[in-house]
Parts: sequence; structure tokens; C-alpha cells
Amino acid sequence: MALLACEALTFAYPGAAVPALRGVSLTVEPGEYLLVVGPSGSGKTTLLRHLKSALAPHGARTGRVLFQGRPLEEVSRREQARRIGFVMQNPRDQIVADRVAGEMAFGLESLGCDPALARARIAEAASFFGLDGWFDRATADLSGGQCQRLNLAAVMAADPAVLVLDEPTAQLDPLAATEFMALVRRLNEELGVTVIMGEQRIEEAFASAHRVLVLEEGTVAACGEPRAVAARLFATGSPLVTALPAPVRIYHGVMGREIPGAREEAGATSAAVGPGGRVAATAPGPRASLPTIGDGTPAEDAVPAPLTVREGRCWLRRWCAERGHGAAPATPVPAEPMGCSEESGFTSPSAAEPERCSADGFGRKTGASRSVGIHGRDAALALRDVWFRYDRAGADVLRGLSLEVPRGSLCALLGGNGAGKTTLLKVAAGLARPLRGSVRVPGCPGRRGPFPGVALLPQDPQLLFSRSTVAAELAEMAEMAEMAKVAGGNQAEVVELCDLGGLLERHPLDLSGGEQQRAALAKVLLGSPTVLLLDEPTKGTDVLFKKRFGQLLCALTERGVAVVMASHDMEFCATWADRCVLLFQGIVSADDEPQRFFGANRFYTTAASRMSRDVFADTVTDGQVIAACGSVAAQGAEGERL
Amino acid sequence: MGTPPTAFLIPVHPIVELGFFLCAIGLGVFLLSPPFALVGAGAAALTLLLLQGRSAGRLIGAAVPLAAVVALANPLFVPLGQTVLFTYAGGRPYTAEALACGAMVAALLAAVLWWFASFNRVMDTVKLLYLFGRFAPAVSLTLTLVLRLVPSFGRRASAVAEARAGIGLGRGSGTKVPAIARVREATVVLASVSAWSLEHGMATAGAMESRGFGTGRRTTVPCWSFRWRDGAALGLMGALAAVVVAGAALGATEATFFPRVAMPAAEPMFGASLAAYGLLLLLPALVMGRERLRWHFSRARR
Repeated sequence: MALLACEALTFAYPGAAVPALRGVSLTVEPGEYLLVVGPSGSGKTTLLRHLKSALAPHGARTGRVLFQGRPLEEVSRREQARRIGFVMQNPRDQIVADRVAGEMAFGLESLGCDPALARARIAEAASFFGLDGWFDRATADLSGGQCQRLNLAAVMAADPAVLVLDEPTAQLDPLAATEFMALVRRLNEELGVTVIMGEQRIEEAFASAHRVLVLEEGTVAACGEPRAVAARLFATGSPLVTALPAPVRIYHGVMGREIPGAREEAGATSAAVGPGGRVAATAPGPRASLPTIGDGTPAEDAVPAPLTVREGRCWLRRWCAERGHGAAPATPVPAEPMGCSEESGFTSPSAAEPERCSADGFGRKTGASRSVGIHGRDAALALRDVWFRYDRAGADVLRGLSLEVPRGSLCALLGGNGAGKTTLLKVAAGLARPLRGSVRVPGCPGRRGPFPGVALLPQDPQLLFSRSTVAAELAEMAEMAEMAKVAGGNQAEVVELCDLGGLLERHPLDLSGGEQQRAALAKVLLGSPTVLLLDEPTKGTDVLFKKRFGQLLCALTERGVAVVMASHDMEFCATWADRCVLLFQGIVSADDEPQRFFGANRFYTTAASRMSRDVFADTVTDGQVIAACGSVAAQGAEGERL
Repeated sequence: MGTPPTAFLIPVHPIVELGFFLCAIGLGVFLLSPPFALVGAGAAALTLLLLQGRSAGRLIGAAVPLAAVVALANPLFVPLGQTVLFTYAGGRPYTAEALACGAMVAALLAAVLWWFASFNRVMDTVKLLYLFGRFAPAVSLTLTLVLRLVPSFGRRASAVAEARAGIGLGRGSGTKVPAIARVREATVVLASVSAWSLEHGMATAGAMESRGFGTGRRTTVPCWSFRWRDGAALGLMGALAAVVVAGAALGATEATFFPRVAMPAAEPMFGASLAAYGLLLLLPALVMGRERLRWHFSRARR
């Protein structure tokens, strides 16, 4: 009997014209790891919340949710609380107690657990999840990663049969996110806990999940084994393919380019997934969906499509060897405009949608223009020998850091937690005054901040919202700009640039993560800054948003705005930045253009670079790897002809 | 900042700690006699010093001038007493007895201040909630949530203010900000924080419900267990406090200041209750001192 099942679940929020879920059916067997993916607004959260009555949203619902064969309404709240564990997105919102120990006890206490048993469970769970080091701390002092780990431990202490996670790593930095994913995987593998996880960040989870369910506009677009789902998404040309892990994208990019007919064929084989994705078990296996070469022999018969960097590396090495390309890392990388690099792999030129064409109008600067005059242009922001610490007795966070950002450039700040990225942004914005050294913003009178031409978009965009509609937020900023006699940005133009047309009358806190980010950015842009500082702008947003956001930033830099972006998102930085700066221990320890920066790095680099570095030199985005493969294939074909 | 919860260096049941502070502060304010006040102040300072180490020095130092002002000012308001030190303002006497009385009150004040500092350090909200929570679990949970909310409100407000300054709103852009603008800015920050706290509260409520809150009988998982050592400590404190109370009932702890300072020093109960009071107040200090010695020697032996 299935542990959890949805039968033709349809749900509409009150007053919504379109249902959030349409005929979603799924079954989850005990011990299974099901990954639910989909862009934001596709119904992931709505679906997951239906799996627990206490969290189910209010609205019009048809269809059933079954827990161990019983309708969920007939399972008592207490049993649901015990048997169905739920971890939500925001780590701090779920914490009730003020001490870690109290938080661990809360669930068990609410369930009326015997104190002696509860104590043993808490000790056990705390040891398993590694809470011992900070077990007596106040919950307010924990980092986001620690909070989420505590939430998971507290839920698991009640010994649930199934663990439901709703974008648990969206608010975490990549290191904490990776650790969290590893924990979930361990729970599934070592303890056999059934896991249902909705996620945007699927780099790790995609390979460890047994099945992947793809939601698109409230319906199941695909459901099945990860490789089959990836093949199907590529076959149907779904925009969701950009969310897949880099090895998968590169594999399909290369294979799709090599055999023009492969797309249709793959589409035909995986069309077995019926409407609603109910036939998950009969979804085509990886072999069935592999593209075949013209004469009918299966391509790469021994090597299945790669899911991880390790598999991807093996596959790529083999692929290149078969085409006579040795492990010489001296292949000239074809100069290619980066903005369209993502599409180049799987979309034939004729299939390019008009949306993409217009998007390319914003386009990235090409490799030639970007190398010109990074240092030749006049600086928009100059930090010289900046030292900073928060406490008199504390350690220095910035230690003699110097950085010059020219006008119209997009500079990415990378580095681990505590490397000083956020502090650097605060100092640059004039919110924190350096202990030593100087911050100059040419064109701004005075040497003390906050500088009028510099704007900082904080990590949490909600900090900037204080009104009841987006329009009121923008009006507030426009009024300020008028008062300060800044040539305020044109409101209509900014609304268009940030694509806020349909959101003006919404409450800012009701928007999705990506929409909030855009609304906050619009507010910032109305002050017409010459230097835009961004702190983790892509955290918790989906791939579709990231692409639009990257284009938006490019449009800004073309107008001469200098953008400095602190980010953990290496893929995003590799694709969109002009320049990458690695901060370590409060100083700049590497500073180069992205291709050379990531190409030179071994650990701290993109998945595409890690996967391809022993066959190609300096290929850091999947577009570049696919293009390099394309030239290898062309050379191979030429060699054969001769 | 999260200081780790501090016990009296050895783990004791919170009820023992609470009992001690009730005795120390409760008896202290009723024993109006210079030797008792001095013992109280001395024990309070020593305990605080042992608990907090060097950082207690500042708090102890800060109370001394305050106490001195109280002591020196008392004769200005109380012109009673035999021993006139000097006269001022046309013959108004400044007497030694009034000064002694002031000094005693000052010592009492300082002692209470220092005891409360120690109390704050030892009895964190978790212990208090544990002690009082068993009478009203729902109230104590609400209290935890509220207590957590207050500092988080403050943190959020300063984050909002900083974020707004970072995009040129609110304070900052001008050097002199008029008061009206400042009030307006504060209301905007407040609006932002309250909207956020509502959102946050809904999510927290959902998480609580999801984890079974309100689905039936609730238990409490105690973090402490009551051991024989705790019983012995409570018994000893009770006995010592009884001696002091008996002394007070027999008038041994009284002192008169006017017309001259007089104490029933000759009575046996005076000595007994003073000794009991001193021993009672020094109990934590003795325990902590013993633990330190034990640690010192165990390390030296290694």
C-alpha cells in the first residue's frame, strides 16, 4: 500500500481565476525519495501543504489525499503531527522555543510523549544531527543553516514515517544548503525515511532522488526516474531544463546538437507519460529515452546519461576520446556571446522563441568588448586599503582591502561565509565607516556615507517594504528622489524594466521571492544610483528569474551603472559578471574575468568547469562546454572526410 | 548575545537557585543592622565576582559611588543624632549617626543591586519558565514566544532602518534631520516591522500546529532532575534562614541609630544569627570556591 497518495487533486485559492493544482495524482511508496521541481508559482508549496491537514490551504478542493490508504481527514491531527514531518522554507519562522533544547522538546511535548522517552529521543536526534556543539545556545543566535538543521532534527525526533520538505534550502547559503541536502539524503539512505522534497536548487538532490515530479502551472508535466524526466524535459523543449544540474544540461546539449533528429525521437519514446503523470512507474527508463544515431545503433550504449559531476566527467572524457580529442587543455574556446549560451545547446535557431530574441536585445557584451578597458574606464567606486571590524575587541573583517569598480561594469564578489562580502557592501554604501582607509564615490560630495549615488539592495528584500501596495512603495521612493533633487528614475520606465506591470496593486509581502526581489530592485532604481550594490540577489529564486535578472543587470550596466554583487551563485556569476573577485580573510585574493577566474579555480568553480577541466581549458558555463564539444565534433567530422 | 546559562558552577536544580535568591534578597531588605548589611553587601559582591569574573568589576565599581552619595546625603535630610561632626547652613547639624544610618541603607541598596545582577546571570528565562511553567503551561509557552519576539522586533527594526538608509531613505541623507521627519521615519519602520511580524507569526503558528501543538494532552520534558544534593542544599538553607528569622523575632538583628548607634551585640542570638546569615549568603561562593580549588588541584595533579 502506498504511504501517501494524491488522487486527481484539484485546488483553487479563493478568488483565483485559475486553479493552483489541476488533477495532480501521485503515489509515494515507503522509503522513497521524491523530488518535486517546478518554477516558482507552479504549485509546489500548494501540493506539499496538502499532504498535512494542519497546513492545507483554504480554498476549493476536489480529489483525495490518502495516508496509508485512509483519507487524510480521517487521520487524527495528532497522528498526522507524529507521522508526517514537515519542514518549511524560512528557517527562523518555524522556531518556537528560545533554547535549542526547548525547541527539540517542543514537538514531543505537544504530542504528550513520556518525559523519559522524550529525553532519550532528543539526545539521540541531537547526536545524529550534530547539535551537541550548540545544544545549550539561544535559538536567536543560530545561523540560518543551524536553524534549518535544528528544525529538521526537531521534526525527526518525533519519528515520522514521511518527511515533507518545502524548499528547505531556499534561504540558506550554498554551503549550508549542501550540508542540509546531505543530511536529508542520509536520512533516506541510512534510516529509510520516506522523503518528499520541493526544491529549486536541485544540483545535489537530483542525483539522490528516486523519482522526480515536475509541476508546471499546477499540472504534472513529468514524473519518473531522474534521467527519464531530464530526457523528457529536453525532448519537449521545456524552459525548466535550465534548472537541471549542469552535467545533465551539457549532456543533452551536446547530444541534441549532434543529432538533429534526436529531439523528436526522444519525445516519442517518453510520451508514454500520460496526462497527469499518473503512470510514473511505467515512465521510460534511461535507456529507452537515449537519442539514437541515424543508423539505429544506440548512442553511448554503455554510459548512461550523467547526473553528477563525477559521471559527467567520465562521460565527457570518453566522448572526447571517441572523437580523437585528447586530454589537452589547449583547445581554443570559441568566442561566443554568453547571453545566448544557454540556448545554443538544445534549441535549433529556427525554434528560438521571439521572447528569447528580444531578450538577446539586452544581450551580454561579447568576449571582445568585455576585455577592453576594465581598468581604462573611470571608477564609479573606489575602496583603498579599507580596514573594518564590528567590535573593538573583535577580529578584523576587512584587512586592507582595495577595490576599484569602473562605470558600467558588473563585478561579482565571491567567497565563503564570513569572508567579508556583506561587510564590504555595507562599507561601500557608507552604512559602516572603515576603521582605516577610504571609500570614494566620484561625483558624490563628501567622504562620509551614506553616499547619495550608492544604493544597497539587502539580502532580504522585505526589509525595504513598509507600504501596503507595490505602487505605494515606488511612490515613496519617487518622492524621496524628488526631495533630494536627484534626477529620479522615470517610474514608468523602471516598472517596465523590472516587469512589475501586473503587480502594482499587490501587497509586497504577498509576492513570491523573485517578485519581491524585482519590486525591491525597482524601488532602489528609482533613486537612480550610479553604483548598485546587491547582496545575494539570486538566493531562493528560480532559474527563469535568474535569467531575467541577469538581463536586467546587463541593461543597467549598459546605461553606465556600476553593479557590485555579493553572491554564492557561481553559475550566475560565470554567466553574467564582467569580473569576479574572490574575498578571503578580508582581502581580495583573486580578481579576474569570469572565464579565467573559474577556469583557474579547482574547488571554487562552476559544475561545468569541474566537469570539463581535464578536456577543455577555461570552459566555465555549460554553453561554453557545449560549444567546445561542437568544435571537437566538427574537427572529428572533418578528419573523417579527409 | 547568548551567554551560556550559568549555574553556580555545579549543576543544581533551579528551585535551589531560586530559593537562595529569595533568601538573600528577602532577608537582606528586612535586616536593618549595620553588621548584617555589611555581610550582605560583601557576600553579594563576592558572589557576583566569582560568577562573572572581571566583567563584574565594572558593575561593582558603578554601585560604589551611588552608595557613597546615598550615605553622605542621608545626614542632610536627617538632622538627628548625638555626635555632631560639623554644622552648616546656619547651625544645621551633620551627625555621625545619620551618616552610619545612610551607610547601612547604601550597603543594603548595593547588596540588592548585586544580588539582582547575579540573579539575572543565573536565572535565565528557561529556568524561570520551567519553575513557573508547571502551574500554567500555556501561559509559559505564550510568555516564551513573547519574550523571543521582543528582541527580534528590535533587531528587525534596526535592520529595516539600515536597509532604508542604504537606499537613501530615512536618516542619513541630510546632516540635520528635523524631528517631524524622524517621527515619520520611525512610524514607517514600525509599519514594516509589524507587517513582517504578522507574516512571521502566521508561519510560526503553522509550524506549531504542524508539530502537534493543541492536539491534546501536553507533557513537559524537564531539563533538570531533583537530586538528594538539591534537597540537602534546600534543607541547609532553610535551617540557616530559620536561625536568622528566629534572631530577628527575638530582636537580635535590630539596631537603633538615634540618639546613638546601639546594637544588642551582647546577646547570644545576635552572634548566632549573624553567623547563620553570613554562612547562608556565602554558600554559593563557598561552593564555587571549592569547585575552583578542586579543579585547580585535579589539574595540578595531572
